[in-house]
Amino acid sequence: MNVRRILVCAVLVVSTGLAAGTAPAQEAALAGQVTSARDAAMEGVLVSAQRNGSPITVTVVSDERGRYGFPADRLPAGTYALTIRAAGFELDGSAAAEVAAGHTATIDLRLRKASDLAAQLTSTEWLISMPGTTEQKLPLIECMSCHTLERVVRSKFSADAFMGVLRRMQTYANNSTTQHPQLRVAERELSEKRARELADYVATVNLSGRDTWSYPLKTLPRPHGRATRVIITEYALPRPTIAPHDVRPDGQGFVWYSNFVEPTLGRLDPKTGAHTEFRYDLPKPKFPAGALALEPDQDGNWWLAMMFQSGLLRFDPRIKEFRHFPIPPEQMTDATQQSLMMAGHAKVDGKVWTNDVSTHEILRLDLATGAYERVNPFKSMPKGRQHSPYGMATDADNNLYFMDFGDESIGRVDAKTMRTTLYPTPTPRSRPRRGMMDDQGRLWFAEFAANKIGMFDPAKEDFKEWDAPTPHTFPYDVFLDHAGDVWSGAMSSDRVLRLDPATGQSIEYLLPHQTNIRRIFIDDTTRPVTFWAGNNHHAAIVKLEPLD
Amino acid sequence: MRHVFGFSVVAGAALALALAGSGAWAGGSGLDEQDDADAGTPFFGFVKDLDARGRGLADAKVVAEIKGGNASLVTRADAQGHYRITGFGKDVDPATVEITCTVAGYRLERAARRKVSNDPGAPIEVDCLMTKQQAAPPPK
Repeated sequence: MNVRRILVCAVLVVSTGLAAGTAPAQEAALAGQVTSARDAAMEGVLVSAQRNGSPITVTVVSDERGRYGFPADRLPAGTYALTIRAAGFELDGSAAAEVAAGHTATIDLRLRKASDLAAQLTSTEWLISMPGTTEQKLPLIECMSCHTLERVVRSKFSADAFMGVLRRMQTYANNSTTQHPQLRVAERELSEKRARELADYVATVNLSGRDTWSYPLKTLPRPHGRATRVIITEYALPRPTIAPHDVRPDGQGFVWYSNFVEPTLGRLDPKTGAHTEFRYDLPKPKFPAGALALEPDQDGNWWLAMMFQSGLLRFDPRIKEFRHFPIPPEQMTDATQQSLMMAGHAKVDGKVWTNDVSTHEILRLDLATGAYERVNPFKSMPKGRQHSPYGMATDADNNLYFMDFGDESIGRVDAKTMRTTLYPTPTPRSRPRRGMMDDQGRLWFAEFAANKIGMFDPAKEDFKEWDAPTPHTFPYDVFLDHAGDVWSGAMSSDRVLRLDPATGQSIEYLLPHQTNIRRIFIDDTTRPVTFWAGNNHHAAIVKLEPLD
Repeated sequence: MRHVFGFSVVAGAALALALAGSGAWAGGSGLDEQDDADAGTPFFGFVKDLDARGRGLADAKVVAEIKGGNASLVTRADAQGHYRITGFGKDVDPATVEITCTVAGYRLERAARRKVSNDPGAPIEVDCLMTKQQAAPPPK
């Protein structure tokens, strides 16, 4: 979103005046109709408006008549650049609007066929387009941690050359982005067999030895019906290197986020777009920076899982001070990594849960002593199976429920006995990732590799699963709202899923820009609810407000 | 069929330093190999209702516990009363694994155990033979 570009762009179809006779225009600050040479009215086109100099972009979606409208309270007076998102199309030129208080600016937007369809495809759409089996495609999900698959399919690497790429990728920390790559200190092993299988496959779907793709590029349908009834607000953060991983509003109107690649905790005022960063010292300066999980405790503190910096960090927003809870030196290695944590019920017993990715263990911090206990839930499992305690939730007694992202289980660690129980999901190799516990004590979670939403009821020791409606979306996180709708987001499809578990009916809201979604949060204090997430790769906080 | 595994705490256990350089994204990795070569002896069997000529009891909870308390594992039987337990490693001696079953309204009469063959690693069948519990007499 280059604001300066707005000043030089040509205004193609602009007419400003009082509200037209159509319903959306009567209450709108800016409204119009979207058409193309082929369609007199285009439904499901995302229209985004960004005021000159503002970090905030507001997006609405055209309805079945092709009409779009921005509510008057969403666009303060000013000059706006308009952009659109509709797979296969682009704006026929550029568009801008002058918005004045008390008036409706009417801008009709005419679209033309996109000159570079490949540049518009999401990773999900690439995976749908590529020939090959699900098993062949599945390893590509690791690429999406740092970039989209466009980079992969546009490459010209042969299979042998791609082996070198994969070996090089292994040297990067997982908390890397293309804007801010970070090298690991500890080496990471690469299965040559798996890498060779992937390299051989990629060489059949990229531009190795060919000028264009040998398969048709497929796009997902544009939003339709309820999926068009939404307002999306993106808050651009001040540096492109900021990687907001976990995003959560507090009770004072601020939205906080963990920075995945830099040593800061961020705070956004969504009313104004004002942004504040709280910087902390690096406990291990030679290691990759950044934190993954951001969780509150019952005293209103924020907690960060410090990744390769190791340990946990607590921030008291009242006095603006951090306190680090380090991993003891005798337990530290170059691979020590705390990615997830949960402090939500620490007041119960003075204990905070976290993990160690390098040893596949669960750690529990004693706040009084600073000591960490360790639990290995997989001690008696076959050594060749991969495991990784990841997403965490606690019940009222501070018992831990965790997701085994490496394999297929939901685990429970009893807070009193530290006894661990594993519950494999009905779908094998589902790789449960993150989730939340609802007020009935049920655990809702994303089955990342299975492309499903899962629910585990501890009282019944029973699972339910729902398929994500679109293949290859790889849900990362799940949140249940007060009305019983389940929300999810992912790194690959630029879509937000809203699922009614009672009926299985779902809505997918398309986001205006490429958005690498990790942790999601539903603000249940608004009606309808408000969805929050970070755009981990493009330095933005995303707010999505359904209109029903 | 659902499986449930349980293990006891290894608080303060020595770090698995051998794993320190192994595959470690923020979690697992699609490039990791899942190798079951180290899988130990599987268990399977039926949960049967002795009062109904051995009819299978659906959705029974089947517990496999390593004697000595360092690990346990639980499976739920399917609609036919069949269960299968995999998951322990080779270093777990199957002779130390005890199988018990739980069904509401029933009690475990006995667990009938037999080896399918004498081959090392061959599955072990354990049938849970259940009888209905007598209703408690009303208080006088």
